[in-house]
Amino acid sequence: MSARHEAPRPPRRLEAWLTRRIPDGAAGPSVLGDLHEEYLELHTARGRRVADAWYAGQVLGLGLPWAAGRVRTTVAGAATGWMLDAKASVRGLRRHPALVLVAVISLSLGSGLVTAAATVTNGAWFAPLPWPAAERLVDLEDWHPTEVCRGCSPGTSLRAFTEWRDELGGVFDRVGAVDRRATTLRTGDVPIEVVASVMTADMAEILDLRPAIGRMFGDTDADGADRGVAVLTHGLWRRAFGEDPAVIGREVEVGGVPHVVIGVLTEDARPLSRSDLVLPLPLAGAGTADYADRSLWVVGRLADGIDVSAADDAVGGVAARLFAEAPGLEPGWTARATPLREVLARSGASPGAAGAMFALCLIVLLVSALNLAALLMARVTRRAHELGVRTALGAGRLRVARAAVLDSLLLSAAGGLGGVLLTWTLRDAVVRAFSTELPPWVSFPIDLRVLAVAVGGVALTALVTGLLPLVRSLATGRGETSASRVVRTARTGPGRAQDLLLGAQIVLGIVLVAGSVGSVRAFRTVSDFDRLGRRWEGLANVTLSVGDLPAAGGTAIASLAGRLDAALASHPGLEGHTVARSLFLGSWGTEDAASPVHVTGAPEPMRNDRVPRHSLAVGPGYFDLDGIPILAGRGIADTDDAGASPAAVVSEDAARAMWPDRATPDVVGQSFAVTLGTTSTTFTVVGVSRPIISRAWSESGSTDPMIYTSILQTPDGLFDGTPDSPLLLRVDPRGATPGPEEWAAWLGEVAPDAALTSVVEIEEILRESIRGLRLTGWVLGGLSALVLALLSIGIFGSVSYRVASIRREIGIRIALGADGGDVVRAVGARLLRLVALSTALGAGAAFAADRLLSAGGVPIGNADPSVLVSVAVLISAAAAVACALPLRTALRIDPVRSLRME
Amino acid sequence: MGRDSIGELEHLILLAIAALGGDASALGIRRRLDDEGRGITRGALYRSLDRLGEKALITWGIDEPDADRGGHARRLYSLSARGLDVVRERRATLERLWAEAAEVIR
Repeated sequence: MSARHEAPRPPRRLEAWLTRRIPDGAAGPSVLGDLHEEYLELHTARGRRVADAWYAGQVLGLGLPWAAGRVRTTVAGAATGWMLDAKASVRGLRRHPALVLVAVISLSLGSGLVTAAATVTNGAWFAPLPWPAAERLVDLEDWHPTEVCRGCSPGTSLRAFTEWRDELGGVFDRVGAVDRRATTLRTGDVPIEVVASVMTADMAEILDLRPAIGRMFGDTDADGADRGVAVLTHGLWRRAFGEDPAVIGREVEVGGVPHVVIGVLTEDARPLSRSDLVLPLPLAGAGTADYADRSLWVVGRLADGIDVSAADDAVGGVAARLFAEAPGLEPGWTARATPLREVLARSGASPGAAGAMFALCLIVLLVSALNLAALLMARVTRRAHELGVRTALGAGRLRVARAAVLDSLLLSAAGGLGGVLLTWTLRDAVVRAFSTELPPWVSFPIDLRVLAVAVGGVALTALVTGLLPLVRSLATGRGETSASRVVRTARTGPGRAQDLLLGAQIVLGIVLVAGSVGSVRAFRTVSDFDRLGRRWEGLANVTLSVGDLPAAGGTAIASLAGRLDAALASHPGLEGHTVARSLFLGSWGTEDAASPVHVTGAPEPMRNDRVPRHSLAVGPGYFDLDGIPILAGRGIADTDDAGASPAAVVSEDAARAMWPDRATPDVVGQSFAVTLGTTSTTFTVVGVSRPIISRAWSESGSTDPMIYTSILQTPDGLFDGTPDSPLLLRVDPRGATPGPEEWAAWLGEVAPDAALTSVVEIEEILRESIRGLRLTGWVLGGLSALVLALLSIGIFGSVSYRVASIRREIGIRIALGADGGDVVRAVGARLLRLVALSTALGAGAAFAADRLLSAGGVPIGNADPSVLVSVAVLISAAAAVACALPLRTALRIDPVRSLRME
Repeated sequence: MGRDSIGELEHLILLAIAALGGDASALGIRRRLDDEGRGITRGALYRSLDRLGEKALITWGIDEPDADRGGHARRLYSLSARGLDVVRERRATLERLWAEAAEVIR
């Protein structure tokens, strides 16, 4: 039996698909016929495959536009209802521009602030680090369970670093070390202040530091040569060398030592901390270095398959063994490995402050949501008549609900857009304001998910509260017509929901404003420099970098200070002068551990937390220049030099802590000893000075106990060992301070071993020190004023809505013979009770929040009764005005007409 | 534009229908225009034919279904009286313009 021959025909599925999609009654069948005819011709001429492909192309070309047209028609049909409602909603909203403005500003502020806060928090604590394999980077440092205070980072010694690196090759594929130093760079006559990251080549590799021009250094570049090598960051290259490519090979002085520039980093290079140049870390002599000289930051990159706990065990084991064999080291020292992300997050701004800021933004978001809810509730009330007419004309429940929902959706969309713009603006403002303080590894990608959740949350709140009157109408009121139910319920509203809404607005408003005002007051306190107890007008600080001078041993700083003090005395442009440097009299120990300071006659050394932290070694003339009165004895004098017995002046509060049983004049002549290693120095108190506040940013008002020693006789080991600690020349230049060029020239003559770091007027330093607080004060002050305004409008809307909604009740009361006064008293008493209760709750919440934040170490609160009373009065006034206006309208309406309208 | 106004493509389609006499199918019209170097997509042709039908410038009849056409009938187009008037009027306009322009365009 032979196979039946079938005439060729186009692919059936394609033909059937096209048949379904081309319009009936038009050219449809004819079109299909034409295609069929041409298909057959092509099939005969070029074969089935070509014909099939051609047919598929024709079907697509013809069928898709028809299909798209049909989809458009269907969607347009469904969208028409929404579009009509949306147009009605837009028309309605345009008649209430104030409502739209407040709602959009409210929503923009709430969502924008929360997203900006989340963006900044995320950037500082959670965003991925910018280096390759950043999740495998761990911080390695020395550790002691009792000697290291909580949150302190003791660092690591050069010797420990090289030993770990050599012994832990299987655990880490790279281990690098970096030291950060403030120093000077001299390219011409005037040195500029720079920060250098001194690191191993492996650290540069871990941080992916690459040269844009020139080359990076290797570890051998640091040792043996008579000139050092330096790699500039892109920023310094631009700032100091005008991006001149010929800088490679040029000789510069870094901290007074000649260096050759061998490279410039790429613009996107991200060192661990803000740096201007990168130098190789000398490793020579590492094998005999002191384990206790912990100045390095060590970072390791885990080898494949090794996790942090394994690395922690490994480095802890090696360090414990090495340290146990080291002579002179306290027993118990070991080391630990911590993910670098955690360490960097800890070193950023305090999480408590960010948490408080975030909480504040969340409150703003809540206020926005409540505000929007109150406004929309009022709007649904106003639309009650329109919605009733729609229901009467046969609109279904969903259709009525849709009309009410669209207001929320439109306002939320506009608010969301405003939120995005605000987030961007705020993020850029924060980055600009803190550009010099932000560590280089921080980035702030905007978290759109947070924005979506914030806008969505507010929109949902508004939606639910806006729909509440309608939902209630659909659930109750059997026996009524739908239309009258919608109107009646929308008008009367869910009473408890209104009360809660209004109450919550008042509570939140008081908490927010009280907190913000507290912070603004704190800022005003720290702006008052007179409270610091010194006289600094016209004085300037000339800071000098003394580089490795303390390591020279002996009394190198005392000798330098003596030379400088004598030279300043003959400086023709100065009215007064002194020399000073910070002391470090505490220890790395925990708060209650013993310090190196021992009061003569006391049974044991002072506890670490009692030692005056901000002590100074000062030159003669210090107390006169700073205007600190001496209450007993004398200040530091010329005679307190290397040949005399060590003298000290203590502030009155320090005297009370050190000699609690002695009156101030009796403290003079007492003594105390400071022990470092095996060397002990005994100081005799020669005077007692008036207490001062040493930290300009401290707003507590409490003074800082001080010990002043004579800089001419202070042993080098007592000085603050941090590399940034400068030698300070404080001068009174009688008005015009000489510029850096003049100081550099002067210094070149009298002390070529010190490099000029900066010349700044003290008032400028003070202003700079409170810049962060000032910014916070401005932001919070502005924010609280804005939110208070929004809140007042929200409360106004909420209260006037309440009064408008009880117009029927007012009508009945008037019809029953009540006079206007009775009505005002009845309505006013209800509102007054609500406002009073909410205000009390708000004050309590503000007080609790203040205590909570203060306990967490965030000085943001300051819940002052006068502030709370002012805010309560303002909010009550807004509520009273909001109540009075619609009440007056309601009382003027003819009661019969008012009732008939229902 | 008035109901009788036509574009250039519609004008050409009307002329092709007239030229093909009683055998003016969509396929025939397309091929005829192709021969004149005036290619046209299938979609554009069907849309133009629909539009000319709406303007009552053409009419159509249905041919017998044919196996070569997969059993689908063929539409055969012809000019309506109004279509004829429109084409004539267009021709007269062109001739008048040509006569006046002949001095310049030789």
